[in-house]
Amino acid sequence: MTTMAQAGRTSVEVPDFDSWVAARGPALLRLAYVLTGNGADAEDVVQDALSRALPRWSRISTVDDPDAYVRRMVVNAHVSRWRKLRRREVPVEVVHDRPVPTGVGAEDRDRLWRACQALPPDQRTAVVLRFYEDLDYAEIAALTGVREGSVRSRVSRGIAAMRHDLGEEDDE
Amino acid sequence: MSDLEARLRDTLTERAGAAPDALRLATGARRRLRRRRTTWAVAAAAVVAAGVPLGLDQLGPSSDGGGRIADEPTATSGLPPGVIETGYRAESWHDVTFEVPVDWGYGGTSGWCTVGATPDEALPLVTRPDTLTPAIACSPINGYGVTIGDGAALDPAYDSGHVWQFETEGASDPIYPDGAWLGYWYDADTVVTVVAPDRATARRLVDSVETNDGVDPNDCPATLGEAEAATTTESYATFSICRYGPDDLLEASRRLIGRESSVAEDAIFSSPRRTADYDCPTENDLSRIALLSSGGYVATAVTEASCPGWNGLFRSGVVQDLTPEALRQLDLSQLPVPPEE
Repeated sequence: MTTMAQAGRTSVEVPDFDSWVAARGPALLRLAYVLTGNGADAEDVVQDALSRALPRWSRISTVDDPDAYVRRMVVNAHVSRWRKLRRREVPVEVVHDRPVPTGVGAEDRDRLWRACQALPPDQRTAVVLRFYEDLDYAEIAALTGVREGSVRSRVSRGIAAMRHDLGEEDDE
Repeated sequence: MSDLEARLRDTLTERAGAAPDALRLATGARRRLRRRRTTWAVAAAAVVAAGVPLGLDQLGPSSDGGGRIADEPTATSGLPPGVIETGYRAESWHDVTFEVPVDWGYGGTSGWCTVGATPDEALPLVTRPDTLTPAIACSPINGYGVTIGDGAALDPAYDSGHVWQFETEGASDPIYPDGAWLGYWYDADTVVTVVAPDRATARRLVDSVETNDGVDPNDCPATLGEAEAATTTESYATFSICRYGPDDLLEASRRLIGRESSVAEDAIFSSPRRTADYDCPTENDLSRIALLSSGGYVATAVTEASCPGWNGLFRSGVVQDLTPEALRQLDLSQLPVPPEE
């Protein structure tokens, strides 16, 4: 939904674009990396979002939470980018349907990572925002512009799909 | 949280550490913004078949004096900046604004030949970079009007502000109406080209072009963010419709006063509250229309999203579905709806 909030008129010190990017850029790249699954795409997504934020930085820098504002732009850039490129997208390596031992060893992480990257982008985005960004469902709904019920559904279906891929359907 | 979810959290946190360095992110963003603007402008110019800048560098007076120069400035309206003379309206593109007679329409440069046998029979048109021009073999290619184009693509023969008369003699395929008066204003990003039937009009319109530091004469800021932050500045009732492109830059604007204003506001704000439920995918390339009352932001409208859930009127947390009448009022590619008597 379109943001309606007006910029406050109080005198507050706002960071310039370069300073803000220097401070917050690494966190944006980490988010983009877990969303996209590779470094080149992560850089592409973050630069796209920042290039859109730049012409209206005077406005964005005065909103209550510029970090959330730009994070939302990164998430949008990721989803938009995927929609444009999906015809050329190559499926990730097939995840073998066999149980894994408990504990988070290197092999387990590899398989979890691949299973997460294999999710459809809408589900992957919801799962990453839930379990990497630690956002609640309402926050994810606000960030991605869908209803809270849809977010719950996407996370639930994403986890179920991962559980199936990993052969852990009896886990709970 | 299940075991799988806990392991997933741990995995995502660990893998995020492999993200690339954030060096030169700001520089890269600036470069990308410049590239996108350039690419977009070039693509738009290609769509606008034979846009007015075509051959402008070669259309000036010939060295043998065949063309007539009229580049001395003439008196403009004499009104303070931001005040539009009666009989004219302001048109904007990004931070550039100019005036045209109020009865000039909107359309492609060859629009004249779809409505009349000669350019003189058709209404002069305002053509924006995103205006679609039908591929019609008109002769001349361009009718009267004003065209906004990409300044970076122009190789000008004259200084910005120059006015001269076009002559078709010797031209096998005339580009402009015989005897038309041409003029242009340009900076690094934008070129505004005027094709008028007489010198005075060409001079008047070229002299009206200016860049805005704050808002344009229709009360619309150059960027969407500034529009959303705008607070009431006018002491009298006005209603501004400001259309912004996906890059959040102003693409068109209109200010209504008096009865036109109240009719438009009634049509738009009486749209029914949304009851349908949509689950739309994210669309990054939305154009938005900011609505300002007496210079202060009141609402945003979206009219061209591919998923209907993104379209609508967004006001104070309430979403309304725009009616056909509301959409017509918001359509800045057509002249305003005249109020019924």
